[in-house]
Amino acid sequence: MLNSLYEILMPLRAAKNLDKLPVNAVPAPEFLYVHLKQHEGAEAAPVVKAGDEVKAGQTIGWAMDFMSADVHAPMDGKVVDIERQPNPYGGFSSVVVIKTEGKRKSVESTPDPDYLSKTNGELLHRIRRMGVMCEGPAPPSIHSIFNPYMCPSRLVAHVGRDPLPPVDTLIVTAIDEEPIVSINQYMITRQSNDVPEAIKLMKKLSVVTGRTVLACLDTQKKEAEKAASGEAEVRIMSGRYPGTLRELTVWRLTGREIPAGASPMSVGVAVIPLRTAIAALKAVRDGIPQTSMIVTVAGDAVTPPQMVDALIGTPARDILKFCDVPEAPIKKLVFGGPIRGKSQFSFDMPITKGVNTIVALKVDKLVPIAENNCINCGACVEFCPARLQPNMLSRHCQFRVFDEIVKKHITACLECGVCGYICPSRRPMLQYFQNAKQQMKLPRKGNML
Amino acid sequence: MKSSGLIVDVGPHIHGGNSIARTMHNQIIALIPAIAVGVYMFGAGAIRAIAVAVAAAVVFEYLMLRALKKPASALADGSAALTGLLLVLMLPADVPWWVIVVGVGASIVIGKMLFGGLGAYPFNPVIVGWVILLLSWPGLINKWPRPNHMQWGGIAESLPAQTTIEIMKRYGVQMSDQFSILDSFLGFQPGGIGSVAGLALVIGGVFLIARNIISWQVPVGFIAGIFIFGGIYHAVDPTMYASPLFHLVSGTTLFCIFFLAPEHTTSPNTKWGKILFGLCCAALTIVIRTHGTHANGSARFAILLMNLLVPFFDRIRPPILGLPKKSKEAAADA
Repeated sequence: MLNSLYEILMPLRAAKNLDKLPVNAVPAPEFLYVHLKQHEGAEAAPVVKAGDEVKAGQTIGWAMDFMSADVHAPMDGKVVDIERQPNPYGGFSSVVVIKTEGKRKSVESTPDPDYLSKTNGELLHRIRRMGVMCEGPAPPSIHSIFNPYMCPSRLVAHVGRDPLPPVDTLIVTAIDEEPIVSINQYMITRQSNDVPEAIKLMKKLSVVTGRTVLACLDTQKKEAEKAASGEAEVRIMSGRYPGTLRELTVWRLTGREIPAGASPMSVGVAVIPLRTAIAALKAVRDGIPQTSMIVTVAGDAVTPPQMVDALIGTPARDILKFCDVPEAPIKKLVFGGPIRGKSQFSFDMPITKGVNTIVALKVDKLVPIAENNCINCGACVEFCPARLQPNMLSRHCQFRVFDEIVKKHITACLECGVCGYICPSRRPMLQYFQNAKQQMKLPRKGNML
Repeated sequence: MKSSGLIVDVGPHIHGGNSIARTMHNQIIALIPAIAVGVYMFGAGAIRAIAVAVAAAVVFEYLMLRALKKPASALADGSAALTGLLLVLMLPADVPWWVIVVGVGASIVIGKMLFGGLGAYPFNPVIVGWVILLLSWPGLINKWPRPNHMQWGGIAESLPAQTTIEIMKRYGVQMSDQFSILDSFLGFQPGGIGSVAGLALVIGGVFLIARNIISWQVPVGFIAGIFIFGGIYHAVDPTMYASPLFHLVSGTTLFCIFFLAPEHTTSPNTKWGKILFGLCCAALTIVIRTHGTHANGSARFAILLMNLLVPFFDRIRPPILGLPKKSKEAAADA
């Protein structure tokens, strides 16, 4: 009864059965636009120049710090230009424009079957050289998941706290954070052969002392148990939206609350999405750099939803064309999930390693958001997973009383967007909070891991 | 890179579909059973009063929106109509039309718009309008017509029409026992147009809770409070103090429980805050009814007083995610 009441306002559930869709490879477009900033941290330095011939899998950008990873050419071709272009996640960054030649083919790999005898440092280095990242607005590298001390932006939250405890719980999650996104569910059904080895690798990298958990949806319990094959204990979790966030996954599985802005390592937990774990395994075992993404294309302009395998740097226009989606009715194009994704201004925007979903929305699905009065109905307070008071916080943000929002602990805000989703006044809640954090130079929760 | 004419904004890019209009319209729908009972009891006069009140509310709201240079489209959300409707449902059916207009005007102008409109007022505007009427023309708005279809028994036959609470106050608990609890619950008692129909109000309230318009905590806390505090008095001396069931079904108690106390802007937001708010309202209701002079409006006065304390109830909330639970910092800032 209570559950059904909850669903009237919060029907945000994990995507069902999208992982069973066939995955087709998008043919390479004529030009690939490979951004050199596909991660948090510094932009990668280009190591090619205009006119160079590149091979698929060749490094074209060098990571400059531990929060970033190398960038590789997704295809054979010729570098036409290196220019500044708008980044799908905001700002401008350098783009290597590659004129592609020939057909899409798999990249050359340098297998290393003896990878488990390497040290963790060597493995992390190799993963970084292979460009493996998580997904999301500011995807963290494997390095910043397992070594928060290496990453200045993460370290801020740890200043004045105790040193990081040893990791006693490793959580590999096969649950996607947002509705529609289904990449991790896909991994557990389609690439289950690699799951045990990936979990073993993650155990080695995180130096976990206690248990290892594979979190999955109830619909995928059988697959997960088969895939884990004893390497990890399988735990079923609900796919209801705000609870699928990494911070709340940790809280629900271990009962530990992560301090505002800190990484799960500060409570002795390492969380890693299954897709990233498998990509890391492929990087160290098979030597395959990350040059493509499996992208879910969905939204009310796309019927039915589809999954495609697209090269990094493919403009959204080519992906939509491949999926037979007409451009004319689309009014909003979102990279990422429908709640926290970034809306794009142009169909020419290329995908990066952060993009696992493209949501195309028609105009009739859009909601008129405006600076309406808060009517104090309390829905946001009821549903806020961080147990804040979004009603008061949003008023302080609206009228720029920034001292108050710090006192009211806006840093604990997970930026999940639930308050904006249920607001009857249709206030731009997430915008208020992100803007205030930006102005106050407070740490943002992009995709904190 | 050329713009493709797409909309760029911050998420969430989809919305749950909740709106102010949905909230208000559902509350108006929830009042329909109570209005029906009111018309059955008090005849066409009730329809006249409701029409005057809703029309006056919309006109006043429009004038205030114009005066405050706000978009007149805000009228469409139905909040003004709901305010007028709630006010008139507490008044006698044969009250002069100008009293309704003045009351609704006070609700909309003084109670609501002068504070900044929906969401900004500290007191429930409906109760503000009603209190202004009570202080200005107590004789007019406490003169109850005799409801149709009601069986008047015993001594009550010879008395002027009075609410059961007034009879209890003036003539003692024994006299009020002449009215059966069940009759009062079904609406056979003198009182306001829509505020006497207990069963109809409960149906409306359950509808609102099922539609997630109001939360269950305030009504449940309120009802529990009536039973707890009314029960204590009743247990001490049943010949002096009425039973909690009598308190629940008489006067405007159920109307306040489901329609005035859980009003969004003037009720707390947190779970335990709401329950305590309901309990405190109930305690004050019983105390005012038992010891006060304005027994007739006790539940409304209780809500008006508790509205002042809503910011304090809002501080009763769970610790913020990730903050140390008992740190000094958290305690000072909470």
